[in-house]
Amino acid sequence: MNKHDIPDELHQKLDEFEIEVPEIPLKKSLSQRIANWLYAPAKNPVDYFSKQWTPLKIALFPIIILFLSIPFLFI
Amino acid sequence: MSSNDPIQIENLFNTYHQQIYQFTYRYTQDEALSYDIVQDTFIKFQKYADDFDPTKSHIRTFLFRIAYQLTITKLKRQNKFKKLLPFLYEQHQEEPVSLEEKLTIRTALQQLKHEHRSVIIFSYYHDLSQKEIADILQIPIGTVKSRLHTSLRQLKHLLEVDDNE
Repeated sequence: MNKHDIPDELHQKLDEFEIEVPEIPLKKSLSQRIANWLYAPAKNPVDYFSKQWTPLKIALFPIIILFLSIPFLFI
Repeated sequence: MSSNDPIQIENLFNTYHQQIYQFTYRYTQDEALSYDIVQDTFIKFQKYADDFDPTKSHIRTFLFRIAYQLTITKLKRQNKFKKLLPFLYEQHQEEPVSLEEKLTIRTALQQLKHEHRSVIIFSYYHDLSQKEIADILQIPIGTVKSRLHTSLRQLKHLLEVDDNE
């Protein structure tokens, strides 16, 4: 593909995607990674449960968790 | 190339880390993930620098290949987590997108298939040749050509760009 083959309008649209590069150190810092992970946007779990979970599922949830944790008793 | 030369690694990092971040960010649109991939690319490069043959490819191509593979691996891992713990992730697709937003390049790129998105980003934003893209993605040049053609056609369609300019 040659850039000249692209229509001007598409050119403009593609050029709109500009990026500011943050300061990135070469060395990996564990604390930075944990911070990135913690501050990554997350959905409120309550929204998920309120939309997807029926009362029966909510009632069964602790039982399933208990059942799944049984193997840990033998570790 | 010596993988244990810290000055050389630092020079490479200073030269290429912005390009790698820009590619990863345009591809994933995830700031934290792109940040991690830039650092991981150079860590992996130090590990595999001896595999780099300057007679066969450019160092930029080699670094992009590492970054691309890391991106794919991390996205696959992220998708697995999303399936296991969906309530921890934002579900953008459920939110209605306005027409204005639909016509932005960010949204349009996200709507392209992964394989089409990568070729258009490498070709347009990084001025890589079809051969270089083929080297990075490890696919034949013919496939790069057809993917470029398809991605351009789809972008024109998604962004409602007139074809007859």
